[in-house]
Amino acid sequence: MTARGRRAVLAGLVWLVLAVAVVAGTLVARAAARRAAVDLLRAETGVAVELLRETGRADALDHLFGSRWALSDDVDLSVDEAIVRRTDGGLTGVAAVYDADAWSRVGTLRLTATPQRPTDGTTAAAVVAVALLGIIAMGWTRARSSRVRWPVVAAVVTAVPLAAAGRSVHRTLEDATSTRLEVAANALRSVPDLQALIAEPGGVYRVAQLPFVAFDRRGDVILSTLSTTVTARLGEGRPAGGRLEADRVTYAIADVGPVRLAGLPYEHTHDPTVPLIAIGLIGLALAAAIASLARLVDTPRAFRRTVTAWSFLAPAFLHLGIFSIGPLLFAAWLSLHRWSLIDAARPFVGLANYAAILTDPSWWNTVQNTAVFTLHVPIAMAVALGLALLAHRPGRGVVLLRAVFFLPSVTSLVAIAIVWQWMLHDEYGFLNWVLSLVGLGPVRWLTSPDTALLAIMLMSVWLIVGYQMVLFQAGLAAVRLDLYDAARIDGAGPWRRFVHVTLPGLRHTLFFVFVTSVIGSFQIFGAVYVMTEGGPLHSTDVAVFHIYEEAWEFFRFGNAAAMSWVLFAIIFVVTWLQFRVLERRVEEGS
Amino acid sequence: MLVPFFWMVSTSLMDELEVYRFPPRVLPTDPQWGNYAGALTARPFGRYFLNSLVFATGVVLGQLLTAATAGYAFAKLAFRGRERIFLLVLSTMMVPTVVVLIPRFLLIDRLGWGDTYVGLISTELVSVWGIFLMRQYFRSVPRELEDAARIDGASEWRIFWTVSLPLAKPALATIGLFAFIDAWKNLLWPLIATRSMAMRTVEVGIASFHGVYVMNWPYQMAAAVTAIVPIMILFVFTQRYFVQGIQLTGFK
Repeated sequence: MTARGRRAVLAGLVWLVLAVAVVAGTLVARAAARRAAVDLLRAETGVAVELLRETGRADALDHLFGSRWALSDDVDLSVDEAIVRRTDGGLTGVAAVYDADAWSRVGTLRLTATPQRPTDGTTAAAVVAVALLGIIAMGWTRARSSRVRWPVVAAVVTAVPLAAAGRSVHRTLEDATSTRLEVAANALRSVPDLQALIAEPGGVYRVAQLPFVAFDRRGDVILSTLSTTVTARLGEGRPAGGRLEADRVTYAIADVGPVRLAGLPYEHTHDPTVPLIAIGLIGLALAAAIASLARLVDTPRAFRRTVTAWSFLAPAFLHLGIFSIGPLLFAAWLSLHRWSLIDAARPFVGLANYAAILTDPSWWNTVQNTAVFTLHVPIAMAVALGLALLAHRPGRGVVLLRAVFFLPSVTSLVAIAIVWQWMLHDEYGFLNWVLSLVGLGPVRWLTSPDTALLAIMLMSVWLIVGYQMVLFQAGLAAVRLDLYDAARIDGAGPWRRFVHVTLPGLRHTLFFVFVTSVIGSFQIFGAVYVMTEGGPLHSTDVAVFHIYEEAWEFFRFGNAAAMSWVLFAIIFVVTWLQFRVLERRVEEGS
Repeated sequence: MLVPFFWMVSTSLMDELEVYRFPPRVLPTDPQWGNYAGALTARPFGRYFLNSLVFATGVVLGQLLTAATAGYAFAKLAFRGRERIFLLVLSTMMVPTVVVLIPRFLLIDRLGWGDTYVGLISTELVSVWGIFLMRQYFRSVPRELEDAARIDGASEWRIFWTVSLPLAKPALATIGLFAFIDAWKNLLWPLIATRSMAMRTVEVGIASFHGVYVMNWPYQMAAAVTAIVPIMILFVFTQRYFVQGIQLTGFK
């Protein structure tokens, strides 16, 4: 293939990727719009059945739904509460109708809807636009690989249709919300009997299938199915924490006068903004990656080598992208929301989660505990170094010793933690027995807030010391023996030889062990989970355990994500500091 | 160093009341072998072991594949930005697992993999440490053999499979073992990714056993012995590879 041909193929690939991104984004947007339409129809069907049950009046349904509704006396046993089915050309909401005793089924109610497909036009336009611009840009890239122009073109080409798709979905969501409010208001207005439902707790919600607030003429709240804070915000006409403005419709209800209904667009969860942005960015990144090969096109061998290399990297990088980098970014997104597993409303709260954490003493308590716990690392290192010095000559005994010391770090941590918990038992534990033999104790190891963290540190030293010892032995084996001989000839004693030959020779190993062990110790979880569950009195509440509880005991995922990012930041800064301070010293030493 | 292990075995054979004695007995007066049967039938430990085995084996296979291919690329293949990209990969080691935990959980849940082996295994298929180790290893292997194959016109993938990979068996064994042990010891992820009793791994299983049989120390110790012994046997036979692996990491 000629260089020109290859360049054309590359440019084609770039635009293909972008086109795929646009189509994928549009499909996502369409799916969101469809879900919103389905939700709306399900709500409407629910309202219709409810109206029929409460009033038995067909004219109310006519008023609300025109000719869209139909009642038949067939009984469809597969349907009970309102569901939505896809029929050709549209959607049908189906619900079972019961007799007055709510005991036996007397028929089936069907409500049809023809949802618009707001994004279809956009899709077509976008694909055409991408193709056209692609052809133009291909001409450009062939003429000269313009470094400024084409990324801009690519960004615009991707962003514009995706933004259009997002916008149209937003319109659909807003439409759906106002339609629901309208249904609710119409129901309230046209069916006087239903006003009685207002008084009934939850009645309004049943009618509208939508949380809303009703205000009277003076702006006082008549009814609210929402939390007090959201109610207050809607009363002030402010958006209630979501990206969409709350919709409001004003209707007059006999007896009460004009009533303003304000509702939350709870299709929030269908909002496709984030997936759209993600798809756009991934598309751009892929396109940029392909385009960056453009420079290699003129040298076919380098080009082929790069492609081969990336084929080797692909498995690991795909996985890292999907299961590490992606989740990392998603956690950042989560941390900006009040995001709970059990509440469908997940509003954007900005940095509020972070602000809450940074002013929360219980979080700083966990940080402090984690930092104190990390002090076991230098202690363990000192012990491990001593052991390694004692036993770094090869021999059968050494191999056995090494195996024995290494054993704790490869066995089941949970089992080990349980064993230690038993050994640290207040009354019948091994440690207190040994202490009593020398006239000390008993120490309330795990039940006193003063010693619990210490006890876990003790166990951790025991756990980690063998691993570090093996590393030190490897490091010692690399220290040049002639330096020892030279030092001995200079008349240096064992201590001076240790300080001037061994330690400098081990500096890289020491640095490595320290940095990795500190990172590891910041993430301690298992021992705390098994032995103390953060207690007593939160004296062993460490960061990861705290985050675990926040997420899986209290389901506050947004908060937990913010905490985990703070922990990440702390680890990052600590590691960076170690590199800045320690590594320089390590380098100077050599 | 071995005292906890000894204490564990000793307690596991004691009578339920014999342990509550001060000063404690070092050896049980009358070994209660029934404790093991009792503890192991109280929960489906057989199933736990099977789950752990499936989980660890899947993780080992995945990590071997990704570590070998990526390590080979970083060690033997020339491409733009190699060192920078490698540093980037290494820097992901700093990311604490807990950050990606919630998104990973939501992801496998959304994919319908919650409480399945696929969900359990899929997130753990790459070990950055493994990539690092493979890179170190491949770099230490002389190029002559590969170059000979290259002159014969073999493709890079062919060279990788037939020449380089067979030479890397010791490193693969080390990575495989560490992956196995790490997966076996993993508590946090299986705790979150599995819900049902039938999907629990040994670690999660004994942790919850511990929560239920709080006062029955012999039962707990029997469960602990059962959890530790298989891994201990594995370690005794493969000790060499562990030490070798750790030493390889130490050298930069």
